[in-house]
Amino acid sequence: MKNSNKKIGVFLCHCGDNIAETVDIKKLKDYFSKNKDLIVKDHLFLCSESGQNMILNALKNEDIDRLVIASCSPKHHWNIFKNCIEQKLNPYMWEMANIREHCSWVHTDKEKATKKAMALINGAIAKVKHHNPIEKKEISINRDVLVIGAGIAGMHTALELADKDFHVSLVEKSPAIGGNMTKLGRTFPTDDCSMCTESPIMNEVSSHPNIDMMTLSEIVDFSGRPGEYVVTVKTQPRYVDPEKCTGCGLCTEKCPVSIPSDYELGLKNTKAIHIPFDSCVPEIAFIEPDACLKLTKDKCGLCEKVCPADAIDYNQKSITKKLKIGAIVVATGYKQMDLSKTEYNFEHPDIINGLQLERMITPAGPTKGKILCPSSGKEPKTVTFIQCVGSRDQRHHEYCSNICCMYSAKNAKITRAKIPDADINMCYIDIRAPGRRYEEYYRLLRQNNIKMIMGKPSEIMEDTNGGLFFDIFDKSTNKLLQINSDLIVLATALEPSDGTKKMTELLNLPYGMDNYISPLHVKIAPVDTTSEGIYVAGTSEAPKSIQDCITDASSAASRIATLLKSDTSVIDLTTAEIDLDKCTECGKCIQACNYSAITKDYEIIDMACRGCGKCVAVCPEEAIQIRQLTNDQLRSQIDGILSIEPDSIIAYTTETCGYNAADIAGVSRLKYPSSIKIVKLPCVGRLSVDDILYEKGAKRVMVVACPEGLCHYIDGTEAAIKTINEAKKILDKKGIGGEKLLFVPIVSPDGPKFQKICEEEDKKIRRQAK
Amino acid sequence: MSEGIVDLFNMSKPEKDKYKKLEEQLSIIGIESPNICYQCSKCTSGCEAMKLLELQPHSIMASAKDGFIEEILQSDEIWDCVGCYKCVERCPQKMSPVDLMYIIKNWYVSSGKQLPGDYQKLLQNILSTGYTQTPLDINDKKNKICNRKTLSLPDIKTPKDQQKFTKIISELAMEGLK
Repeated sequence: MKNSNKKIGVFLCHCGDNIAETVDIKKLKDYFSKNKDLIVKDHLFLCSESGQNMILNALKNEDIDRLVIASCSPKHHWNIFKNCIEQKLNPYMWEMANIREHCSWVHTDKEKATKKAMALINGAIAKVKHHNPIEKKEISINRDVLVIGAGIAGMHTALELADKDFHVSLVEKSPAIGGNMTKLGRTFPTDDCSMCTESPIMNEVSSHPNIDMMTLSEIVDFSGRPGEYVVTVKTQPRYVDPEKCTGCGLCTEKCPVSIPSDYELGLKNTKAIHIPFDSCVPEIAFIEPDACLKLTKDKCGLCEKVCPADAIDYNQKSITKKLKIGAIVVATGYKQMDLSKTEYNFEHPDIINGLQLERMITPAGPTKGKILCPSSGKEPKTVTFIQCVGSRDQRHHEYCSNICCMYSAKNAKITRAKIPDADINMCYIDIRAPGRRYEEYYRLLRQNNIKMIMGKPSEIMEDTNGGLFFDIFDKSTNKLLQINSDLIVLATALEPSDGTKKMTELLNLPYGMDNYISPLHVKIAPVDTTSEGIYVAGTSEAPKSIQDCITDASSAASRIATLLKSDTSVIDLTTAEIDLDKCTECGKCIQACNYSAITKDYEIIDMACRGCGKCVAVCPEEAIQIRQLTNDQLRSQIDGILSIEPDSIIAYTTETCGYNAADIAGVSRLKYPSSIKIVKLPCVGRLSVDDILYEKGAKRVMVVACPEGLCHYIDGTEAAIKTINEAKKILDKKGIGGEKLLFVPIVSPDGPKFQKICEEEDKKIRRQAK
Repeated sequence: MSEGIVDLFNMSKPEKDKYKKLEEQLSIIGIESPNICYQCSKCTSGCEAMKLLELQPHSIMASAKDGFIEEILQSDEIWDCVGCYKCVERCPQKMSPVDLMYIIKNWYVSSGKQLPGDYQKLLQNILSTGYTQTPLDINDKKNKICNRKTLSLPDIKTPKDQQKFTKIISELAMEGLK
């Protein structure tokens, strides 16, 4: 709050004649100069060096502790003036009145424009009286990183960061790292062997001095704030001493318990003690505790007897460890959809998914690189690929699984190479091949004599001999074809893995209808999440190719390097603050916050708060405020405007869409009535019912916001719509009329819409006046 | 110079009003606009009336989307649908060619046109038993015979008083026409 001894500097800009042509600067200067609390100055170009010097001199020579700059849009020169003021004052002790884009450029009547400018400046003066210095805060940063999931995305993120000298804990649930990519035979569009590209990465990860690789481990607890998280990792016992095991495989040979191999997707059995797969990292045996006779029934113990390195240890226990880290990357990946009980007859052994075929293609896989029918072990004469199984299907997954067109094309091509005289069919709806060398790859596929059939079977049937067939309408020939096939490969939908689902819950990350983790912004912040300091990479965000996972990983590593660039981070406290004396701990703010920025002890995590003000709107006690726009500031601004021009329409605008649309209208010189007074908010979610009802007789109120679903703070628009509807009801009850309150969804470039709405609203008040 | 789309085979043009009405009637039974259909033709692949009668539900959906409603109304094809609802069950976009055809068949009847021969028989069935047809044995995907008994479904009930039943059904049918 303002000290009464100090004065407010008011600086008026002519902007050449951009402002001065329509707004009478002299009249404004004369008017405000009458007020002894103000020191009023004007300049032809306030943003110029001499203009800035004028401001600096005034700050030096006059008794000014806050100021108002009446000039262009803050989108334009806010930083210039902020940097200038910061030399003498706290950089938040000023306010900008936009008398160019929102006044001189959109009005023609000089008298009306001058009056409006006066109202806007008066509003800014009233508001700035309530400004308090906003301090900077130094926040300690732990520069260690946690990467959850050691598939290709997680490993690549870890390596990128480790090479930048960050210490990385890489936590993997499985006994070996590498993820789903280790299961692939070959990869598109290069057809190189998957392990040949991945093995060097796995080895580099395991030997990197900055990477602490933790297999058989999961995150079980999480607390703290960005820059200082505390995470509990639980490591399951391997029952084999990693220091001693040489990976000789003698234990597996002797183990009497045979179990289906998860890794081989049911195509092969393994033993209760086994090395996860050939050339895995770490190449150490592991005991499946649920299957081992010693661990379940205290019998057998053969592996211990035969191990030449004395590495078996049945007494190992799980270990929990607390890690202190500054940032987290979630790279927990995908799984294949379970197709049992669908029309695709997946229960039949000769109907397999893409990943199972990958295992067959792998030379080290269950069939030693041969494509065989699982039912008979014979080579198939006909192989059919069916696309979009479970994907692009409203009954299962609405989304396209992104990689199936390409991997099926690759698998068909490899099948052709392995079984040259086979009939190979591919049933598809659309082929999606947008990417470098993808369409070329699709042409290669056709050169390989693969029958492409445009259509989709309704179901897969079995004939009396157990053979597989299905009917398909071929859209190109208008024929109904019966296709008899020895082996059918389904391009199965990708789903978020169980680990991905667990992490969304534990880390409180928002996820979409598809259950994948939602990035902060799907386009411009694709690896950020709503929680500062937590990033997402790879297929836990959406189905994607290996190349896209690598891009994600590099991107996440870069974002983290920015966040953790030094041991401390200095931030402006343009964040929320809670008056604990007023707070009744009702929990509404915690619930409203999309960024987990309020702890359960009602402390603000300044690193996480984005200053949207949604919490302010829901607080019943006005105990929580955002420092850059308190209730007092907002309401004083309204008072200031209305005391000059009572017949005004207040237009609350969001900083990103509404305010910009008004600026665009200004830049395009779209004329609208001067009754419109624009008030800027970070987000309309900031508005409470009380704020809206505090109109002190404004003629009408518009809330000009980002459209639903496009809020820059996730759901501020939706919150505002609720608030508006509530306020409308109260206005109706009071007899003022809820129709005087209007919600206007608008996108940033839509200046013409802003103009149109302003004209319509103004007509309404003029009609009322008659 | 013509406007918009013209079918150059018969110079017909899309009937936007009828399409809108079709969309409205589908929405009453909770089905989205045929515009959503992405023409995978899975309905036709599995259509029971396709093999014998060459009914192509996806093509009817496509004609409807383009607005050629009269063409569908005048076609014999829509009367080939046996109403098994397999297209609905299997449709990846939750469309319903069968309901679309029912709506158009209703339009056909309410315009006063005569029903095709087999349908007269079907009507007779409804009037006497309440069912469109008598239950049949079918083969499942493992080629096993399936009927109500093997599926442990109860036997279907038939009217006790034939005359009274027919009277009530006729009254109900007339009610719907009012």
